[in-house]
Amino acid sequence: MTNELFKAEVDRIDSGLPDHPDLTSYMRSGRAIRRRRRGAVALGAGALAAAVVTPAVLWGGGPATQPAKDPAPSSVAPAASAPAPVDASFGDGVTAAVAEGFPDAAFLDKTVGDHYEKSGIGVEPALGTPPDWANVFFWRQGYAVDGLQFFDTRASWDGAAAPAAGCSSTAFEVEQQCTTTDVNGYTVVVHDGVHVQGEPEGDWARLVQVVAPISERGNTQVTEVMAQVEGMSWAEAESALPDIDRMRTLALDERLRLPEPATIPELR
Amino acid sequence: MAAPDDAGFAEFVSGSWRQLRQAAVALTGNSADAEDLLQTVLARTYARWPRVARDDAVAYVRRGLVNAYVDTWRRHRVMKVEAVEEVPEVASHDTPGRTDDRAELVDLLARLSPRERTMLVMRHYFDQSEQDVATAMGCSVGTVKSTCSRALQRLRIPVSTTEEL
Repeated sequence: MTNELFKAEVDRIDSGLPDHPDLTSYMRSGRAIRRRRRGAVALGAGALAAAVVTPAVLWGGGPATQPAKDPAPSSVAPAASAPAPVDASFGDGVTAAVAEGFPDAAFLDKTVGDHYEKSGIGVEPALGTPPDWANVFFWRQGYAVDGLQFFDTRASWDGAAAPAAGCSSTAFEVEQQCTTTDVNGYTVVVHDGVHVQGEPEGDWARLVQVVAPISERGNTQVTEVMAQVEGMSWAEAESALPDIDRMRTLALDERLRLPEPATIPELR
Repeated sequence: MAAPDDAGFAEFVSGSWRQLRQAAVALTGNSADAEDLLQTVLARTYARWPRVARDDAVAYVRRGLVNAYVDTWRRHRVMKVEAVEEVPEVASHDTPGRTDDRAELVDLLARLSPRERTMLVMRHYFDQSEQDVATAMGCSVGTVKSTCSRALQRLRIPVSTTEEL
């Protein structure tokens, strides 16, 4: 009886809130949460793996062919012959490449960075107003793919002192398999069966990273394709995640490769 | 183009909106905080929708509302309105157990402490057992009983005999 009375009273309250939910707002914020989770995954792949990976493994050519790495901070001076800057149409090319490999993928959102901005306890790439297209060093696009918790692509540039991508037993809390291969001068790293520390049990990701040779200005470019499922055993997730070859083909697509920025911001 | 899981999320939120909205106001005691609470919880729900949809979405969102609200008031430790022991006298009601108007209940709810509102909503709006409420709030079943009983008294909602101490 009490419950019914209380419910009746609460249901009679004039809440002052709209009669219909603002779904767009909830979804926009929810996608931002997904992006932040995705950011944590990428940090795990890059920063931690770099602790033990050797340049020879990453670049395939061996130490003799390695451009000297600049031990200075990651800020890079503008080059005399800076490449043509990227513009907003870059994202269209990414979506076209995604559509070829994943026809059911629906574009959700993107994060573009020409500088870092503080976000919570960390920093996130952000685009200025107006955008500084010559300095865009980060471009991520998220897509809805049936059966996946998330699916996205990202292209990023970093200074020579930045952690390199590669296989490492310390990269993730759990990683079923990691392979590194050379494809047309690129190093392709496949992190498979990744579970990120702190993520709910049953979250499994497959991450393909394509590491380009160090640029003439000493910068590094990584292109990534990542897919994640949730609420599964690894055995279930392994077949539910997109095929590795499809993800690798997409990650190697030139349309995902971001032109080198004039400068790269320091990550403090 | 809508994402594949957007339709399910939209259907769920639209279908349960009225209950979620009323529960949020009952928890927070005011519209502004209720709006913020709903924004937080429904964004989190959307972020995890594929899994939430497979499990029990209603239970997930209810738990989310309570947890997010409890997090808020535990973190701030500042109550906008202190609980009062005495409730001002009002004219008698035509229907026992019913407040005179909708605004009055909001006022009365706002006079309760966040802890009281949380227990009331969990126990009497979400129909959770006293044991579940006690576990969630980190207190004894007796505390849940006494807190809810006093809070209901302030709202002038009769406590049924089986629930009286």
